[in-house]
Amino acid sequence: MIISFHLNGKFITISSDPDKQSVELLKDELDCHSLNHRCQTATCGACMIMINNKIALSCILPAFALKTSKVWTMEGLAKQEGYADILDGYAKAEACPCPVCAPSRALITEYLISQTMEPSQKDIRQAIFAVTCGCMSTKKMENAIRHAIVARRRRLDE
Amino acid sequence: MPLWPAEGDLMSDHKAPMRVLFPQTVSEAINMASNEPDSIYLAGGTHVFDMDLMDNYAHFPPVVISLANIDELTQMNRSDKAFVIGSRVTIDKLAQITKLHLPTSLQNAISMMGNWPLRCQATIGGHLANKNRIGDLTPLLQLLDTKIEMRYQKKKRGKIISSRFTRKISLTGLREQKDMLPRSMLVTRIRIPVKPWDINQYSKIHINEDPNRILICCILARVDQSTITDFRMAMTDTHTDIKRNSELESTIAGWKIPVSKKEQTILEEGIAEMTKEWSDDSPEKKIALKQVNRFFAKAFI
Repeated sequence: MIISFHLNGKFITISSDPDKQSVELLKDELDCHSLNHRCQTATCGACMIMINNKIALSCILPAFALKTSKVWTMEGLAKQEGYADILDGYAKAEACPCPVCAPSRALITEYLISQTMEPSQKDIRQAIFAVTCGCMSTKKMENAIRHAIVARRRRLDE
Repeated sequence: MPLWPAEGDLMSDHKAPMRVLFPQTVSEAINMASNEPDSIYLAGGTHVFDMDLMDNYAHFPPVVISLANIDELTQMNRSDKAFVIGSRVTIDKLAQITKLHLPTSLQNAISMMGNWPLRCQATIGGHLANKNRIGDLTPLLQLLDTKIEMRYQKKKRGKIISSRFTRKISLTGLREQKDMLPRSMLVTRIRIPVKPWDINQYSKIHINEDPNRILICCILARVDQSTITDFRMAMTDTHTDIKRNSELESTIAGWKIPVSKKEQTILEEGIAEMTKEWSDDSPEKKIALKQVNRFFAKAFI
């Protein structure tokens, strides 16, 4: 099946089995090495992507679902202006996620901020628990998100 | 058994390549489903592709009708009386739009479903139409008198008399008739009435910390000056059926809070009747009664 979609701002056309897992397609054939294929049961969050402005777990997303979509991975996010706000936030909170979950943490932070600049405690917690990795405390993660929001506000106000 | 299957094993289990169809309208989707006997509809797909690597290759459907291009299924409307939500609206979106107008127990129920990315992928239509499992939201939506609009191809003596026959059905009816509904049936909209409930409770308990053994208990009540004027209760283990006792519900409507000892006995007998298919020493039965008692304790406060 020919699948055409936008990946990190670029138009891509690729031939693939329609039932291939998106995480495999993106990681193995399109060099999205930020994705990790760990649990395969949509629980760990390490395969997170953004598709059509929504977060999704690419391990349960078949390749055909990418057709005509706009997909963003960490590789694309890192080139955006807003990424600096996330880095700033994490640095201020002294939060250092491990290499396995860091891309997903950054994506979920970006997604949360894009949804609301005033997330409630519940919103922040649901973002934190979208990625199940024990490398950081919940408190540190929460601080990182809050600092990232402050950084984003500051940059937008300038 | 090796952790990763050898390539040969995968090839031997792998059937013919899956075909994917992309209808642009509901009518087109229904026609495709009628013409493809092995097809399934796919919206979020979280129940279709949530298996591990081995099972993915074993259980893929041969034909998938992707609903991704049908905009009609993502429309949402709200009136004074009800929310009308397209079947492709995600669970996360449902939580956002119903925050202020539907019982908080619905928000609680949604927050307990999987993780946030899953809720952004899963759709309300797929959740309710899943034949293999009773959805976490189904008992609560049933108590809220939710109705499903579905469309299918109506045939008589082998001839198509309507290619987009519309029918509205309650959630109870959907489950009871699931094996009799036409294959082409597509859930298009969900109607959730907006009615105030004074007290509402949703509990989802993992029995013995087993993620596959769940008890869901939902209770809604209207109270006027310490008198229960309307009472609804449903329980399910998500695999068998949704248990309700309409006689008990009618009996409880009219009770004053706090309930008397005699009424407590009636309640226990009613729960026992409701859960008679569960064995007497099953944890589900004990937890069910505990949840109901917790509700009445909360109602008293």
